[in-house]
Amino acid sequence: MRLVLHEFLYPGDAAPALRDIDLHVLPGTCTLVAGGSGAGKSTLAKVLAGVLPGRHGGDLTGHFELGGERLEFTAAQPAVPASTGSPARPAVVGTRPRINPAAWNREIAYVGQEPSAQLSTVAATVAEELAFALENAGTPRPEMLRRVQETASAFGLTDLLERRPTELSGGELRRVTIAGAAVLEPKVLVLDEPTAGLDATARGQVEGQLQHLLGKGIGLVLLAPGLGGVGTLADRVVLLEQGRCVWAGPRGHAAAASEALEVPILPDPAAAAPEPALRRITPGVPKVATAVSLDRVQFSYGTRLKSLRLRPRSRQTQTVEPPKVLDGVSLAVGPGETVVIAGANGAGKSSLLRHLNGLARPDSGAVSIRGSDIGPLTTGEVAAEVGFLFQNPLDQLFERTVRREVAYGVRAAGRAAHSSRTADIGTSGTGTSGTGAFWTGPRPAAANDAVQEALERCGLREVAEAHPHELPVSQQRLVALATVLARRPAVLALDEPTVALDRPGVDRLAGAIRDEANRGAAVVLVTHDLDFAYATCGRLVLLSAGRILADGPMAEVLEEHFRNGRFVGVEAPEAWLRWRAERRSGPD
Amino acid sequence: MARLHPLTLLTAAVVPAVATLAIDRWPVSAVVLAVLVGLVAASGLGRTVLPAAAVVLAPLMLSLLLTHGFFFVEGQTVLWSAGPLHVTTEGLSFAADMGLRTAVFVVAFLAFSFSVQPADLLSVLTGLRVPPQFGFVLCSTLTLAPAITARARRISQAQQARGLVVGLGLPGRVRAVQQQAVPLVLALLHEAGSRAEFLEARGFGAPGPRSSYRLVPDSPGQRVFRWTALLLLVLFLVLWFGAVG
Amino acid sequence: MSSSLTLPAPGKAAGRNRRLLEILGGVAIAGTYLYLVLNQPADIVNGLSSGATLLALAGFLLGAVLLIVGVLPTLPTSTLVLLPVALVLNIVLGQFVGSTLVPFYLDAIGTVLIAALAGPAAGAATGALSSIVWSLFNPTVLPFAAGAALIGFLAGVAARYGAFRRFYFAPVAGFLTGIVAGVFSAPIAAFVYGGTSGLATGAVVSAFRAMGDSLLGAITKQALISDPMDKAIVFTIVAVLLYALPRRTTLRFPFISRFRVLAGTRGA
Repeated sequence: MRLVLHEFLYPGDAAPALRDIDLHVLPGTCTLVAGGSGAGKSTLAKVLAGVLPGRHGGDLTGHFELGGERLEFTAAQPAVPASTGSPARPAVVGTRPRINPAAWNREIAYVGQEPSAQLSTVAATVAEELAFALENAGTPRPEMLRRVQETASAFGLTDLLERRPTELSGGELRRVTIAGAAVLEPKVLVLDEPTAGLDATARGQVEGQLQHLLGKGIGLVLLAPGLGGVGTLADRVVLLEQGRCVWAGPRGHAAAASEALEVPILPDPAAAAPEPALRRITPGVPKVATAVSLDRVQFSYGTRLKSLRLRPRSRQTQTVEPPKVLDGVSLAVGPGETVVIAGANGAGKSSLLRHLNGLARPDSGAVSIRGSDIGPLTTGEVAAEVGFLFQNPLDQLFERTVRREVAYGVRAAGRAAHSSRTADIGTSGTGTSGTGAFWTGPRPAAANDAVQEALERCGLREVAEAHPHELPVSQQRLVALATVLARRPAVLALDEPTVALDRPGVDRLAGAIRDEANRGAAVVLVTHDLDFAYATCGRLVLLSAGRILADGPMAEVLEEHFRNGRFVGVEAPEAWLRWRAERRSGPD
Repeated sequence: MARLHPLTLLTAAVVPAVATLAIDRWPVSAVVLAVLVGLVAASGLGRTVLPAAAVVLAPLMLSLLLTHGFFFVEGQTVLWSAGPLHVTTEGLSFAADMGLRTAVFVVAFLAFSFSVQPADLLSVLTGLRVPPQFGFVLCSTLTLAPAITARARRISQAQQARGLVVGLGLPGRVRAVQQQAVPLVLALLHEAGSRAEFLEARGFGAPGPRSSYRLVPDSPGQRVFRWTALLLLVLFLVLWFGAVG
Repeated sequence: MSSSLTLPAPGKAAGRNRRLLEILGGVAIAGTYLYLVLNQPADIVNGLSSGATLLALAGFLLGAVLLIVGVLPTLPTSTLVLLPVALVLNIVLGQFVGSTLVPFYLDAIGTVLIAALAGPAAGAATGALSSIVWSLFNPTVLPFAAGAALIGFLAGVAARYGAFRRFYFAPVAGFLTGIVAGVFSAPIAAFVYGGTSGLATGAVVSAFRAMGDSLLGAITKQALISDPMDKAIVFTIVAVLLYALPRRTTLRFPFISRFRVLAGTRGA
């Protein structure tokens, strides 16, 4: 398969989203397309998938060599009258072959980014979900059954076949969607960030799945923000920047090339320079008070509201004792501390985080912010003190421009801080700049300064007037981060903040965490990305089955529990492993 | 209870509903309704179908009773009268006619929709060469409804975490809904866009015949039942309307 | 181009068949409505004969199904995936508002949204499908499928001629759509159910009855109070949503750029 792309333009855009790309994929090889957020990775994936330009998805010039055929795409060009200075040019009628998706699929299959949008929504079971593409191709039923069984057993999904697709975990969902594409036995499979947001176990399973496909002689195209993780399967790397291929070559040289060309991709943690963990010192902040504390918190999902089900057929549900999500968790975080909470999927990490701002309420036990119990406060009121960053940034954003978005948080926090109930805990003590007086009296000028400063810190000054939904994912996350920073909360709770961030984004986030801690805020983050946490956090809390297994300075907890590189489904940071290995082998 | 073919279930719902509508006499409707309720309860669907039917029928019945029970100006036999209110025999009978035949219709169709598997229906429609888009919209709506309500809740939480305090008064609630509706609709449109790409990449909507993975059990007995019931219904309608007028 | 990977140019014959189905669906609905109006009984006590009611039901349902079958295969996938979303919005809001004591419905927000994004045909199909899917939970809405299709169609026509280009046009267009929709659906409510399915609307009907109106007259007047207001609100909400959308999202819809549905979205 080969794609020679001269230019691709979205409808209504003046500048091309992609240009000058030559991608050649041989059977059984893996090509990694790496680039920052907004570099055009997803657009390229969709062009390969035959989704773009589609019926009305823009103008493509270039050609495909595929299955012994050559498909030529030329863009339509309007006639240019002579009066504009240049000589007159007649209109050019573009050729845009209408791709037959069913046939295209058997050559190139595609798995996109959002797992929940990758379900057909018509299949009652995983087996039917896998069969969806076969059904659309009109495959006879006996062959369909055989292929679904084969694919399921090859990918270890046989146990899931009768499950409802909507009830799968994130990792299972990812494996099902990849299997759903592989069931067509395509020659090339295009995967857009196939392991984003997965824990170590699920990442390993997906990587195993991809290795199996390579072994069968299928060509893979991976699109990822960095060279590490799943990218280590690649033979060749293509570096993408601003829609252009800036470098292509063997994987071994990619890291050096990306540094030399300053392509903003995430480094491979395994290749990162080994260095000891940053000692997280909290300068000038006495560790007397606690910013946030949980006291013997018990929590289970028993009291959760039932969601409206529009499914006519009711299923008999047996009421069983709901399992404990948090089982006696006590945790105190002081001002200026940076804490990472790690654990396998389902260990209760997100539930713990949601207790910090009252989104989840303990069945028993108490949560306090600066010594005051938040029990009587609503989440909206707690928000004045606790800034919360969600996994999906778009859920938090609703304004027309980035600036209004960031400013909204400031105004709402000002209002809440003025309400009588929060006034007693809403006193700022550790502000390092003039805007620290914000809580006691938000003047418009101070609020504007806070907004402007947050925009600068997140690198959003250039896009302040853009619609948040039109930004690349990485910048959307930074907008959500800016809304938190602008309010200068006493506690920052960050849920998987590094997912979908590109390299500048990760740098901004790490900088923000450092600055907020120095300002005296407590930072609590939940992440699978222990490499990021290793570089930014001073304290590590390990959670398993709703209980805290270990809690202490990062280096000590690692030394104590991660001698084998892995503990309770959490992988040790690569940089720490390297540092440890070198320390052991080196002269002492 | 064995899984019945969707068309069998549909036939079983259509025949009594249409027949009752054709006869249109409240005593007949009442008997049919009683039999239907008995059957539904006996099949174990009573606990889901009957409350759902009550939710639909209660406002309708009350509305009919209000309109025709008290304000049936054409009524001759006045039972009770006060100011503009006239309770008449004709009014009550009209309300009963309309209400009970609707009740039969509602219970029969709810029994159908609560006993059919949407995926079975999709599979049958595929077999009947109905455009696959129809089955897609039907099943997708049923799958998405809980996901969308869950998403609405998530957005509401995210907004609260940003400091949105939901006021108790109406203006506060209206503002909260407005702030939550925009991200919800934006997110849904965005996700729908991604889903379109997924569906196209899986060959959905491609020309040519479609096949079905799901096997819907059918039996000669059910086929005989369907054809017999439909023939009898047609025969009955011809005779009934031939006789009446 | 003869390639196994591409599709031939769209066949004319298939398109003509689809168009025929759409026209047949429209004719069935219009014919049934005329039949209902022409055969309306002078005296409510006799009611509409049950045969006529059955015929009317069958006619409307057949028309709605023909429309759906004709329109659906012509919709691009990017529009098709919006239909379930629109249906959920319709049903959840409609069910919620219907259970309150407000004489509105608000059960057409999804339909009007699709109509504004993708045109009258898509709007009509969304309306009809919405009633059919909703009837799985509330069978009483099934007879109104044709009326819902009409609302979607009219909303699409309104969008095409600029109803959403100025903010104040939207409620006016909604009001006018509501008048047509009210007049259309009143005979169905009168002859199939003998009244309305909500208490608040029932009270309004009762008031007109007390003043001596015929049943159809009372229900029509009630519909003319509820429907135009309801549709004006719905159109306004949809306008708010449309202008909150990012430009790239709206431009994905050829209908929007081709007919300049929104202010400042002139197509290339």
